[in-house]
Amino acid sequence: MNHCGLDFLRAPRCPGGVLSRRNFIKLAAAAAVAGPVSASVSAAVASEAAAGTPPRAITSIGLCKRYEFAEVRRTLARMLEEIGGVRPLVKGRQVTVKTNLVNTSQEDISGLPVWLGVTVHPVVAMALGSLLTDFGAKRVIFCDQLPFREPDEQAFLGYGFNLKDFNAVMDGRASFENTRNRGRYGTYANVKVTGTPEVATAWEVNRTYVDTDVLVSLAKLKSHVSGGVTGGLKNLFGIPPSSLYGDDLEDHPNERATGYRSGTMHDCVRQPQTAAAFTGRTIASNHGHNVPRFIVDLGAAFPPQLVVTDGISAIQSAEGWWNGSMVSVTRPGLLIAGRNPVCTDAVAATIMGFDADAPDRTHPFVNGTNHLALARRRGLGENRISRLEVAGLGLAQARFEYLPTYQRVHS
Amino acid sequence: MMETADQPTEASPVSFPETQIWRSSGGDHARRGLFPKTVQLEQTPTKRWEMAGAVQAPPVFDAHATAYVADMSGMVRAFDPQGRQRWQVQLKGGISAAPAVHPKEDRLYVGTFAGWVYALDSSSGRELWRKEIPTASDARILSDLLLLPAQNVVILNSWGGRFYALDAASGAERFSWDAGITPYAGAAADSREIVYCLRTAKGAGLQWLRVEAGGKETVLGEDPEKKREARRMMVCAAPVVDAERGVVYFVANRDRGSAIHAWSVKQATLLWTRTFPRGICATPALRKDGILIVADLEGNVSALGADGAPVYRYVSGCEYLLASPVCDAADNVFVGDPTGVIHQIDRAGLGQPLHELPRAVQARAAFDPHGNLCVPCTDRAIYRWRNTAG
Repeated sequence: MNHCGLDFLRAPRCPGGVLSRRNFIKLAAAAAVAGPVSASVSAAVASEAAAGTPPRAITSIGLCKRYEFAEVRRTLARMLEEIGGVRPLVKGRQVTVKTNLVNTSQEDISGLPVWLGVTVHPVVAMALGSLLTDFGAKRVIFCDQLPFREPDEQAFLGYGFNLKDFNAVMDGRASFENTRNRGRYGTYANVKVTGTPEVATAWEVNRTYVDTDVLVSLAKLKSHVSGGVTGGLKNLFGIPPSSLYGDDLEDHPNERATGYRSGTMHDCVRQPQTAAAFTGRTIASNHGHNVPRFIVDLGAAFPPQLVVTDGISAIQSAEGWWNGSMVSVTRPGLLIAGRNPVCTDAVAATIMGFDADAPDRTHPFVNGTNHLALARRRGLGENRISRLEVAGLGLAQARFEYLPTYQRVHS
Repeated sequence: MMETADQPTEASPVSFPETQIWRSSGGDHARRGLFPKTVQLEQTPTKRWEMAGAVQAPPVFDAHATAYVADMSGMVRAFDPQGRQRWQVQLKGGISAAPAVHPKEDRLYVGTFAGWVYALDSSSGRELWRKEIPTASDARILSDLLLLPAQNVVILNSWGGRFYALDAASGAERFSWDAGITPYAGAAADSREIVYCLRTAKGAGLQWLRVEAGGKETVLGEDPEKKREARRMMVCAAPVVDAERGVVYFVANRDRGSAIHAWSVKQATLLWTRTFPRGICATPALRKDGILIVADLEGNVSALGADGAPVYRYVSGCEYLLASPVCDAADNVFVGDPTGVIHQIDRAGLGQPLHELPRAVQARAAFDPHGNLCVPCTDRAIYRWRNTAG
């Protein structure tokens, strides 16, 4: 275990580990709170922030060069122990795993399947699922919003996610949910953004993200043109559903929508078809301003209690096939896990060769706001690497510089 | 087990044939990746040159077998043949483009992600000049540098979208030309210093061209835009010049797949094209018998005859290959993969893993003038295999 920095203080456990999402919602209901439901851990997070100490949690780094199930599972098991163990968190509980699968499975990077660069590799998801069920999770739901109208099991197939394979290693306790709309629920969940929102006061989302005990962010270690780096926080960008936020909507919600959220959450030139309002503090067509703020507002509403990042094989300079030839494949051969998304992403950014506390409009946040620093100021977690504890491989050994994030013209 | 002292057989050289001095990526400006003697490597590396960041650029050498290594943290270090560090310089911006060594003067040229080109005194690391490459957006230099001694220019491009030929003595711009969209690949040249390169252009697709001294360019051929258009046609492998047979090879990435185009310099015509199901990031190597060695994003190493016919295909077992292969005079091929495995493949295509390094190998290996194989690794080191063939 390595202690980074002289002013290291024992990292507190992620407050999300104490109170489950479902229990928090029960408590909130018992208190007869009217209006939007506030998500689980925000109150604890906010109180820590008010005390001037953003929450911290240990992050573990594991070397894992290949997508071989046994190797990935073994590495991940050790890492989860190093961050304090997750058995108490998941035992007897339903776990929702927001998985970074992005907006299509029908593309590739020069012929390479998306899971070798853009999306979470199915072997990492299976290994995590297998461990969670071993630790006693009663159900593990892998979800993201996918632009396909096929039944959920089929929609995931293009990303290499085969439900039969998952259930073979998870005692039949795996399921997939496409959260592009209400899905199997009759209503949406309206989730308030805690603290002082940047650009969104609340989110209206598929209830899978709320009617659960534990939320896990299963991310990919990538660059991101608007966000600087992709990790456990940026992964949450996939939560708002196309049916309310999609580019293919007209003037009303549409359960058949599959469009991306450019108009509402990147360019910000249109409002979502939802009762959950935006603050009006977005700037039209300024992705570098809007995207980091939406990331933080999502982090405040849906704080994951566990983050696992697939950094075995990924793309650099930008985040997806849509960035054209500016992306290239690279192979850090790493897994990263932690209990606080800001801490975990700060460690991830450092591994990539960047300063996780860099000023806005400098690398890797070269096109806009440093959302990790903004998240700290909002009380979501510590992003200053000298104050973080790292277990496993250690930062110096893990370091694997990425190519710089692409800098837009006029940035 | 790494050794700290060098073997007695590796005493400082008196002189080496010019073809044994790899002053740029792939050896010389033809980019063939061919060492002109047969090498016999030990099973494990015997030296490790420590760097500050991941090494994703091939090392280059001078006539004294001094190695120059640049890394992703922007550190440049010089190591003597015994592996002792002679100097180091920290530059602004990481480096993945292979530096180039001047054959007549003590000069090392380096290009960075920050968009600067540096000329360093290769005996001390002292900065001689630097030049910022102009750009409206992203300034990064990813292309392996090309030094043409007769013209005394250093050639490179950046994501600003232009190739530049800079005066090697002063850094002044001699001439420039369009480099297309987000170029990764550098240029190659023949013995007359005619430059060959690739670029993508909206509407035209991928073009391969010849550029003469002064910057006069001639488009030799085009691979038209496919469904995905030029912005997704990655230019990441440099041309390879077969001076003996008068052929230049160009790699064209198109949609999901790729193609190798063989261009006849003498006939000014396309000789053949061979397609691959996935893209190609690595500059091919050229054996002395004219067989082209291609490492692709399917994880295979393919050998193509001078007529384009397949000779062999070696399956590395890794999902993809990023590093360019190199070969020796006995037609042995050496290539590292992203899991760190170094493969040795014989002339018939029979191969085996030679060794596994701790982290990914994503850049081309190089031979030092002794024929020792030097492999850049992302665990912040260069690993050197000793050549026992003498």
